[in-house]
Amino acid sequence: MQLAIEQVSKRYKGNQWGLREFSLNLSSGILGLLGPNGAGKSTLMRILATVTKPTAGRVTWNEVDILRFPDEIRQVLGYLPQDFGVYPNLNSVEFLEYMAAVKGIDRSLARRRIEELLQLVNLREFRKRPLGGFSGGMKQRLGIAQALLNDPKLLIVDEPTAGLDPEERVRFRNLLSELSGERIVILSTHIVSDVEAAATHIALISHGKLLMHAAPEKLLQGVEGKVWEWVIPSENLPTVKQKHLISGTIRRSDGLHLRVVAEASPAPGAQPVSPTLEDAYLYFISRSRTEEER
Amino acid sequence: MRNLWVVTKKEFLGMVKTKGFVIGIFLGPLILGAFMFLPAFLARKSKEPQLKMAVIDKSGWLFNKLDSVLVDTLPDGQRAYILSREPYRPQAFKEDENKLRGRVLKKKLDAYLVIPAGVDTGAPPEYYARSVGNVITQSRLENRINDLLVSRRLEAQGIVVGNLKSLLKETEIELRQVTEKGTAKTSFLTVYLTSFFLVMILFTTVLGYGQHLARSIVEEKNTRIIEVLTSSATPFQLLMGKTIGLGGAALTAVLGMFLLGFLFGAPLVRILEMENIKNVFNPVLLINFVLYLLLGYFLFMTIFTILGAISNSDQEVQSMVAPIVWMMILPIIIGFLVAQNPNAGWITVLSLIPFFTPTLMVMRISYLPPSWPELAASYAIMFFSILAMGWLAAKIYRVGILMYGKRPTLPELARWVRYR
Repeated sequence: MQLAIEQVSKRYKGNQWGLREFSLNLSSGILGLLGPNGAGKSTLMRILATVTKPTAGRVTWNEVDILRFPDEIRQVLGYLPQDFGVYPNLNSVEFLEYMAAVKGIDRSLARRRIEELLQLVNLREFRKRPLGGFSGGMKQRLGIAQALLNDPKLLIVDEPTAGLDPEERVRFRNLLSELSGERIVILSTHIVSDVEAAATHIALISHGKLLMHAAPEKLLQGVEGKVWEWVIPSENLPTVKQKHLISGTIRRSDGLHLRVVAEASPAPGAQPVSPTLEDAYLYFISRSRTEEER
Repeated sequence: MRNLWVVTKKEFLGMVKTKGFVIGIFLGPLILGAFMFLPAFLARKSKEPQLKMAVIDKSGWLFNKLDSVLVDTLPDGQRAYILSREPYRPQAFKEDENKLRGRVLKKKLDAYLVIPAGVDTGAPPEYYARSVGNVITQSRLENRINDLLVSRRLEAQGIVVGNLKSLLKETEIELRQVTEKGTAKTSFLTVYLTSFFLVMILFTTVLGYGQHLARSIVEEKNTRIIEVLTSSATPFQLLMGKTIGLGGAALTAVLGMFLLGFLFGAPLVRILEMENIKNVFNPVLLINFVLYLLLGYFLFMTIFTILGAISNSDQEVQSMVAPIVWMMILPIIIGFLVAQNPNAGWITVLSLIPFFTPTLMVMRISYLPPSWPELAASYAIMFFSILAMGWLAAKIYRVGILMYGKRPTLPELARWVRYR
């Protein structure tokens, strides 16, 4: 199972680039796609989901060009777009039956699968309730169920935990981990803790370009010795913020405990601490911005 | 093909399974019919009140004669008009007239009539009332006074007429439409109202289902369901499925209305005294109506598709519907001119412009079916226009469903069409 993205670019009007010469090779596992808003994550996902076409480049699924033969990937694709909504007049079963029919799933198989999935996403007791009355979290869970209808080999989920409460979020992360097995899962988010919990690989993306593709441990290695805890009086925060990259602040009785990401100790009193993925994300994104400004 | 069928089925069933659809089949024609036929029917059947009218006769001769001929009666046998003569005092005329006006305002009188001295030489009588909308009374007064004036003028010429009414008895022409199968009794009002009824069904169906299509596109766009759908089916399949599914529902609704009309319409037709309607509702008209309904539906759906694809909310769709309504309503506005001369050159030309064709052709066929070559030309133009507009709509739909935010400008739309 191989998904290859080769030199893919997407240009919008006014010479704006959604993606620029983006290349990535993926095999089984969960890829966490991390990047700030407008980085090009959703554009990449739409291209992989055959919703939109790139301006240049090639995407192959098991060496078949999906731009020329989109049905090759559509048969094995599960896709949950960002801000997913529903038909308010249908109930969960009707909605999933329709999506299953569009995906070409056999009717009896679809019925069995729908029951399993409603159980999986904890919506079974609401199966006959019109979707118009669903909360944001319930809609999102239904969206996840529709993405899993055809037991996809390529599962693309864009900001899937947005709108979920903490319990649902944990449940969803676990679900993703369970699903990872013999399939490629692409999880796009800017919630680093979601990726930290589930991803086997992380791709950092900014301004349509791939900054880094590595295992989480590798990313953490990249900021080893570059994260510091520094206690400062709270009134100094504005000045410190201007000079340093701060990944966290905690107010204590002795002052503000800052997590500072810096190549060298920001101050004599600062202590080195173990980096988190959030530190790594901020470090690499910030570094790319600085390089671009140069 | 499978996806096309799946989407068609979903849209069709999604529409016909709603309560509104079933209620619409029953209530649609009833409400439409009530708006069109009921006012005339009620006017015909409404009880006429007795009218008290004072008359100042400056001529000195007309009042008595008018009182003897204005003898119309109400259904209960009473006189419809109670006339009272008021003396004419030239020096106090203004004062007398003021008094009469006061009595009218206090509702002691319904009206008063002032007959001028020179009425027989052309000076017009003046009718004063609180309501000037009583055209029946006005018409009766005019007719009777005219008859009396003619009699008087004939007598002045030495011709004595015993019964002028029988001498001047008018006739009404009974309309019979000549068709290839023979002749059929009809009336202008029946043909006019029938064609209007069909055009209104066409108009409301296309507009109603068109707006539903546009709203459904906006809904799928806003909920991002469209992104999931387009990852399994092509935009063209989705669009065609929607259009055909809703078209099937529209046709079902119209055929349901006709079926109900045929089953239960007979008593209604008797009540409305429009028995000759069966001569107007002939197979040629009905077949053409269904064909123009379908072609009109598909043509206008292309516009509604574009509206849906470029809009982000129902409000945006609504704000752009007005020009479409005008395109459909124009033929209705000129309906009376079509009735007078259905084959006039300018009407023929207008009826070959695709957006006017369905409504204008249905009107024209009701009055006087155009020639077969003309019908064929209109069908051909409609068909090719649908293909061209369908191509354009599909191009815009394909891009528009994935565009959020600001509504596109015309140059942007042109760019969407060129996208590969």
